[in-house]
Amino acid sequence: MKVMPGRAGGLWAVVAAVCLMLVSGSAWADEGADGADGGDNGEEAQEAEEERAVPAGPTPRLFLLPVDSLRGELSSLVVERVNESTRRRVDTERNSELLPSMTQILGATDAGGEAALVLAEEQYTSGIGLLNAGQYDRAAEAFQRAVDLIEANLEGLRNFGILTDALSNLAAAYFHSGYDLDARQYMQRFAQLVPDATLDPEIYPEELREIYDDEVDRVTRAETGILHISTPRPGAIVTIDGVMRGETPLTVDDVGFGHHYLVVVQGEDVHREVIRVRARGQEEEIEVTFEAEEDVEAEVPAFFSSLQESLRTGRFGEGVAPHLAELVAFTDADYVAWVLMVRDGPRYIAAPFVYRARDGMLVQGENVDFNMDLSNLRSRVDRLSLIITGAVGRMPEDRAVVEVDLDPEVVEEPVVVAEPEEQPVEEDPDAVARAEDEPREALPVPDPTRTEPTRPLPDDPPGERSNTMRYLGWGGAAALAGGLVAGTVIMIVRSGSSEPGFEAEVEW
Amino acid sequence: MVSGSLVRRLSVLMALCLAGPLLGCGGDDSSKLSVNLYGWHDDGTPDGAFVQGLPDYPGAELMRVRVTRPSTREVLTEQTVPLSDRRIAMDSIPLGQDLRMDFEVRSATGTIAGGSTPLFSFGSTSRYRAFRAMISPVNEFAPVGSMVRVTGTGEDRLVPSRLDRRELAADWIGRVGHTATPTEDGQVLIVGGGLVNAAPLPGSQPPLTEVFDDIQLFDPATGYFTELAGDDAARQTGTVGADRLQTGRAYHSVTPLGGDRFLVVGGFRVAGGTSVATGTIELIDLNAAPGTRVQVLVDSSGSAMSLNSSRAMHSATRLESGAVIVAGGRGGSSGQVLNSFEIIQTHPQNAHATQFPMSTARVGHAAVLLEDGESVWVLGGSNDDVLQSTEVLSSQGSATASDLDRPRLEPAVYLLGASGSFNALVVGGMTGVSGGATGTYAFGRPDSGFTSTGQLSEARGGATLVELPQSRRLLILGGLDSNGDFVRSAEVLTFQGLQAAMGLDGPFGTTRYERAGFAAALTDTGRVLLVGGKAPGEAARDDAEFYNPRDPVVPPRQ
Repeated sequence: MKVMPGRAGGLWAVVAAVCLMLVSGSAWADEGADGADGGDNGEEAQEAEEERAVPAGPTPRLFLLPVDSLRGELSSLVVERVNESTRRRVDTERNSELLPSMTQILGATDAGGEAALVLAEEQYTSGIGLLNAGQYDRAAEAFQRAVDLIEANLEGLRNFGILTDALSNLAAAYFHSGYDLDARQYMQRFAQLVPDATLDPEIYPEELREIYDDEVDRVTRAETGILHISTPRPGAIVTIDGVMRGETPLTVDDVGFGHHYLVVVQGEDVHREVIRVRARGQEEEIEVTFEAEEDVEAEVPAFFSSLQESLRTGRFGEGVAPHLAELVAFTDADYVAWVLMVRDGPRYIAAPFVYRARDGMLVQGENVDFNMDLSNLRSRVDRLSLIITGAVGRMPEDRAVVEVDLDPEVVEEPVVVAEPEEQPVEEDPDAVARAEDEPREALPVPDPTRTEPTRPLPDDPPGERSNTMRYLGWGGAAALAGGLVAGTVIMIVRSGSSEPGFEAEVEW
Repeated sequence: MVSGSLVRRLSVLMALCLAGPLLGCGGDDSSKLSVNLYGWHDDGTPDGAFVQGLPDYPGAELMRVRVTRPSTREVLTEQTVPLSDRRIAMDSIPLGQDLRMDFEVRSATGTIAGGSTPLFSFGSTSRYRAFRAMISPVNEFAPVGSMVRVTGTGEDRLVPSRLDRRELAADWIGRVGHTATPTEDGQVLIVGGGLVNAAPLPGSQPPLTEVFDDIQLFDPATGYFTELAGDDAARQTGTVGADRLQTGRAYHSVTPLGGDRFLVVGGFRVAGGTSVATGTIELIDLNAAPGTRVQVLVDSSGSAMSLNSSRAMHSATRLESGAVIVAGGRGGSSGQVLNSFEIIQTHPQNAHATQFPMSTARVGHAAVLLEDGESVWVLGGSNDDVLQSTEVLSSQGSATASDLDRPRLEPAVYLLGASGSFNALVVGGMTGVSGGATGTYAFGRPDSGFTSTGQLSEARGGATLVELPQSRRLLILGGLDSNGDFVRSAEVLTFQGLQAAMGLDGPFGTTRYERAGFAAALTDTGRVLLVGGKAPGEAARDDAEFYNPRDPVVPPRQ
């Protein structure tokens, strides 16, 4: 015998169902009396509803423009850090498919090989000068570019000392610029690569030297790890931290704890990787696969540059629609998102935007603030990413905007474009004054997909009515009520004296 | 000719008419609990093997399923079927709160494997609950398991659980010196801990190389460890990374204050390559908004309060008034053993700590709250030598009490008794600062001395003692033997009255891995969770094991 629900709960359900059926039945009866020809108009309304509804289907494709700053005023270090982290984070969200960046689409890369290393050395030299001159921000930018270029072209690097010097100087530059976390990270990296260095107190403050000493301690205690390096075909040349170690398959048993630079070269194939060694005698397998590199330099399309320039002004609206349309056509994106950052006192504010291709709707998400030293980078990037990916598909109407004008002093919350349905009656004169000081403009949200259903034209003149639907409606309601009453009686009889309880099923 | 819309409406009307009687008859809307079992068995590999369904336990014939209310020792219903049925259906189970479903795989000789769901409630409005429950051999250790989805293949697999490292930058998050504390909703809170480059000697300053600031929650319903700073609530509110300790620490104390609030006091941090005691105090409030679940106590001036003396490896005991007594430990510039205790008042906006001297500096002592609820009896420990002395600490200061039966470092202690008549049971302990352990146990009172009563099957110093809630027997786990080696078995003490004959069962089982320095907590599934710990020469572990004691719900005799 099946277990019935509690008698009281069941009865309430029955009563509610009876009432619902009676009401719906009578509604049908009345509707039948008033609109014998409501069917055609109902179909139109239904089609319009289907038109508005977002159909379930493939994951929306999202194109994320590079994070930028208002009028390009912020250091590239800041926007690039946020950009890189945001792309990585958005890519992990499953409700949208992150499309490749424009650079990736075009296959463009930085200048490679020898040219890149020459450039890196120039940046390094420039960084030294800036560091000595006390221009720490710019020194950090230069050293960072040098490190990035070298890391991208390790196989051509003949003097590994330049890289390690760049790392230690980068740490110093970050430290003096107030980026403590970055300073720590790069000083730790340096210690892992060069645990026997002597740091000049004139360049490296005590705090940085302590970080270095602590990390060296850690590296020493962790001793070494064992790496087993293999390639699809044997005989690839393995270099670790600029020192050639042999050919694959290769076992290296003296690699210290921390981050190291691995380069594996076989013919024209090159694999570069920053590996993390756990040491403590642990063994790690590294299986290298060579991937083809694109070495084509391509120009960024004009519409893309124009779009970025327009957004960077902080003032945009319908004027960027053509550029966005071209971008959508170029990338086949369903949504385009971008983030503009601005400095606001002791912090940075990031304003995210999401544009929906199919109807041109633009929403502005809530602002996200970052500390000046980006110490809250991870949590804020998480928030930013959730806002962006949360807007994809949902596009909250209360966040819709048409024209944007970001005040360089204060990044305002977006103007609400939807007109409120009710205006509260203000009896407080102060409140009335505030309302007058802060007029709210209501702008209609363009929605080309929405169609107004036409008013139904009655088939018959108002004096003539059809009773068929009324009779059917009331008759149906009566039948339902009768069935429900009968069923209730049956339920009461059957349930007898059973106590409330639940079922359980266990499977193994 | 009838229009299409009219036909549509008539069809719907007919359907509704047919549906009416069915609605009245109630239909199949009963409340249902669904449980899927998975099993673990020892296949000769270190991690053993998890299987969907049950392994082939030798001699297993029957499955007994009971719905119980452990808090009141009630068995609401039970059913036994042949194991080959692979299914049990039960109906008319009484609704209620704090229920649990217990499973026993039985052979001709008795129960050989078992498991339980966590506690659950089933009310009149509950409709459907589902659990996955782990079955493992009783009186044995097994890895903690959880179901994960393999990236790429989408395959679901049962794997040993590990601490959550998704949001952590550290290369390795195995640990010692951490704490494991049950929460009010049946989870286990794991706080801090660190890495050492050598096994710490009992009572000695541990050679920490790194300490952690993360806080993890273990859910026995799923087997998952989840870092508080990266849990669902943090992700939804964009506060990932926020709910961590302000000061990473190990060998600290975590004391429940009620309402899922926990006081984190002291501990070691690492500075200049050495372990340095800290005096900082933090409050974990699991019910606070994400991003604010770790707070500092502030004093009346609004400043963050701290201990009068930085200390680690101290004892911490909550008084009935809500204050916390922290005693002894190591601190100072050279990590010396401390001879002070502090009473921490945790009033919001007026937290403060008052320091008092102790009769003897001590570390590695045991501490137990006396029956008056305001005094803490500290026993043994070490101060260069292993101590035999004890003292009672209260807001009146320190009062010397009766000596132990012998010097004991890191003994386990348990208070037995009823109002007006109690004894402390002291079990095991190291007998020397560099070696030697005892398996003896003794009863005593602060004012009347100790009597040695018996002996465990194995000498254990620094063992973990857990009271089994149904049988009230005492489970002894882990510890170090006389050679300083980790003791991998469990034993159970049974006693009657305050000093009546003790029965000893065991040793039982063997831990899957050596785990000296693990943290342990009893979960509401009846299993004991052991997290972390390390073996000599290896890095501290980041995984966990269960010990599955035989502790069935048995209704009290009428």
